[in-house]
Amino acid sequence: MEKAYPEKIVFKKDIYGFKDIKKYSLSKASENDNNPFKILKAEDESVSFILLDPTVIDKSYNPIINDKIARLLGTRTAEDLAALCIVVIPNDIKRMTINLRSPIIINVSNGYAIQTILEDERYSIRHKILDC
Amino acid sequence: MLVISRKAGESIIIGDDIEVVIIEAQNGKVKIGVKADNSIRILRKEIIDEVTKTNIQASEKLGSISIDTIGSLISKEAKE
Repeated sequence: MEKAYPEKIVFKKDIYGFKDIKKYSLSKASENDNNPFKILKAEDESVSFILLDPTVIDKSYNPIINDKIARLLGTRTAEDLAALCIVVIPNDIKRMTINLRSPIIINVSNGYAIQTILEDERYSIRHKILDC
Repeated sequence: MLVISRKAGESIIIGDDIEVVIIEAQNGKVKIGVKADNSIRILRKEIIDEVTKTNIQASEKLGSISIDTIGSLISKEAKE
């Protein structure tokens, strides 16, 4: 079952490359319920990202989140945490990729989030979404 | 920046708990071992640069394609 995500997201550390933007809103990308994408938009609307639940692409996706991150996000239980990954959609959409290496980890109970970088080298920064 | 010369087998200590060991230095390449607590994340710097670059690309506006078109491609893929 899909986790219910909070609408307001507060980053405890900057998203890499986006300094000092901490407050975002998270929403469905489309009215169509079959559309798995989400939109993460800065509260000041200066930037937005398209996100996807990585298990849509890789059912076995299971990043190791250390206690330090859990504590930073204000929890001790893994059940509070959910991962969403940033998608890059180029003009040639067949080449769209998802960043499985640096998921956005969200505490669904309080909306705190962080973009972490996994040490696990099996996960790619540019994992191809479509196999064509 | 602090600069220290070390030979293979020698090490330096950062803080109280991180040890950086020079394992091998040959042909312009250094093999380094790091002993630290699991909570200390150790990454190649290029990885962070690549994540930053990818984030910036991801933040660029979509072209003419709509999110519904892309969504339909994914849900098709997921069912297969």
